[in-house]
Amino acid sequence: MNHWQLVLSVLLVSSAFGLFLHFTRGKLTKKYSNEVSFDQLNVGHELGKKATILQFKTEYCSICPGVKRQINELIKNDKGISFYEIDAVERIDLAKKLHVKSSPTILFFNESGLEEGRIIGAPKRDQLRNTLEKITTIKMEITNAN
Amino acid sequence: MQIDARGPRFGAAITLVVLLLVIYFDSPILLAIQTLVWAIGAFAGPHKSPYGYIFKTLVKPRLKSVGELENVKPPQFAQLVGFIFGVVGLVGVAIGSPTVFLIATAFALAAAFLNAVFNFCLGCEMYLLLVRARLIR
Repeated sequence: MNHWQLVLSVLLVSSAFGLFLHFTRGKLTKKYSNEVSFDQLNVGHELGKKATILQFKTEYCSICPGVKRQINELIKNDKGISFYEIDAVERIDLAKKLHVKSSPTILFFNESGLEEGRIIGAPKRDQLRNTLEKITTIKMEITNAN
Repeated sequence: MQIDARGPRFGAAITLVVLLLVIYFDSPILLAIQTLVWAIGAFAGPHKSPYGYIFKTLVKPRLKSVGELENVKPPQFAQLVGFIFGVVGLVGVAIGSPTVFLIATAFALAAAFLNAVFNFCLGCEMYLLLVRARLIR
């Protein structure tokens, strides 16, 4: 393989990987399992009355602070939704139990403490809002900052 | 510490060009220079590397919009990963293995390409996996 073939191959594979991430990150995916409920996880926080959001972060995640701000903004008028941010390295036990492999990973739990789904990567505002609406089944009053 | 988030992406674009030149000219010297840039970025911070300095003095003053700020640690982690690839490539040269040199440079090229084009967050995708695999704390 000559040098240009190598460069072309690297750029092609990287482009495919980049596009894969672009189209898969930030979207609601299916829950991993219903085997473990929030109460059994020993998160150290209480379950929200309507829903609970857990965001796993690491200190090397550049987009995590922005996602945290986005979620806080979205739920600020709804006291029934609890939001907790967890450092995945400090709680590696929890990260492993919940199959968290990258940051941010945002898990949504319903009022019974069962996982309803998760978003890996930075979610779009509509995606977050729709997910919460689906879980809580209550139309949220959201101040549209845009 | 917070830095302009556009700086590391600008640095990745320059790195991409440098690494293309490394492969085209088969140049360990260029890779050594790039590895030095990564070392400064990894150990002193990306804002103190030559590319960070160029961004701060020549590019940023010409940008009209105000950039978002980000923590310095994620781009610093990416610089460290680049530094490791650079060292591996140079070790390849030292032991007379052009294959190691080319493969390490190709990995660094892929990371720089993903960062420059897709704004790929290496720390988001890799750090936790490395911790889980017990390769780092």
